[in-house]
Amino acid sequence: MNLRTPLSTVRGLGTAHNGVHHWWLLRLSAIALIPLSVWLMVSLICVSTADHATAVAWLASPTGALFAVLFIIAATFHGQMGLQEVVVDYVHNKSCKLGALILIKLSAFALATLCILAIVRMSLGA
Amino acid sequence: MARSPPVTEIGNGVVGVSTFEQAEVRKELAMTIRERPLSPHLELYVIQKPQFTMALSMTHRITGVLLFFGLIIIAWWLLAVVAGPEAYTTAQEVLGSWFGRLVLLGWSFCLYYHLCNGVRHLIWDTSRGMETAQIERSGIVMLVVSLSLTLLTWILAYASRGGPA
Repeated sequence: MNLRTPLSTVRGLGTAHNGVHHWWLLRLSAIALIPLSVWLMVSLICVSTADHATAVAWLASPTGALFAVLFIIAATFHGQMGLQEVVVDYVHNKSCKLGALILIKLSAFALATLCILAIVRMSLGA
Repeated sequence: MARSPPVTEIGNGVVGVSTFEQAEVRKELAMTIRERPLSPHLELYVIQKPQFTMALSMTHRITGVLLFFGLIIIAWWLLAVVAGPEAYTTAQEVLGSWFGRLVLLGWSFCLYYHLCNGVRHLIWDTSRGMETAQIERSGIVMLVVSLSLTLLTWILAYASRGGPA
């Protein structure tokens, strides 16, 4: 006997009330990170031994600042979702899991803000 | 394999047997069901037969976690650039030391590995290349490409500065 409402059967989501949203966002950020990672590595090869002025000029240039901010957003977003996946798979103690998830999410936010502020400061010449 | 109904439902509909017998039948069935093999467990792979593809999959997760910590290094380096020439020189010295270079070498491999294997995952998401032979072949290709990219990156990095310093 099926006690589900027709709508719930069509949605097919189960008790989590949530389907592929996490999976989709992880893939979306992964796709964004393909060109952004290539850009990062090419840039890092170029500035790996640069002096301070060159490094600032790199990050202050419109393209450099744009791609750097995009990379930071995509990487922190993708990273916190990926770590969440690892934690829910392997950490079974409820309070440890909750604590780890809070730490991951908040540190990802903090890291992203820190990096973006730094890049914005340089691109505005502060 | 056909799915069996939940244990609690078995025996309820049996006509002509006592409640006690129904309970016994249920208990026996519960025992049988419990002894059935479950979906492949991690221990099965680790203890009985370590697999190439399993190792690649685990490495994908490990490199992903390490890359998150790598973001801390990136944030620290960015802050050093903002802080000024002195802090920047210190950061460059730390990253340029043998230990710093070792960390960066590991970080660059993690990035290329996670990038290449991530592309592999995206291809699988389109339900292509899912046969065992294809998965093993793409695993080897991915490993070779990510190692080559790491090597190429370091060759170019050293070439752009004119030899190790």
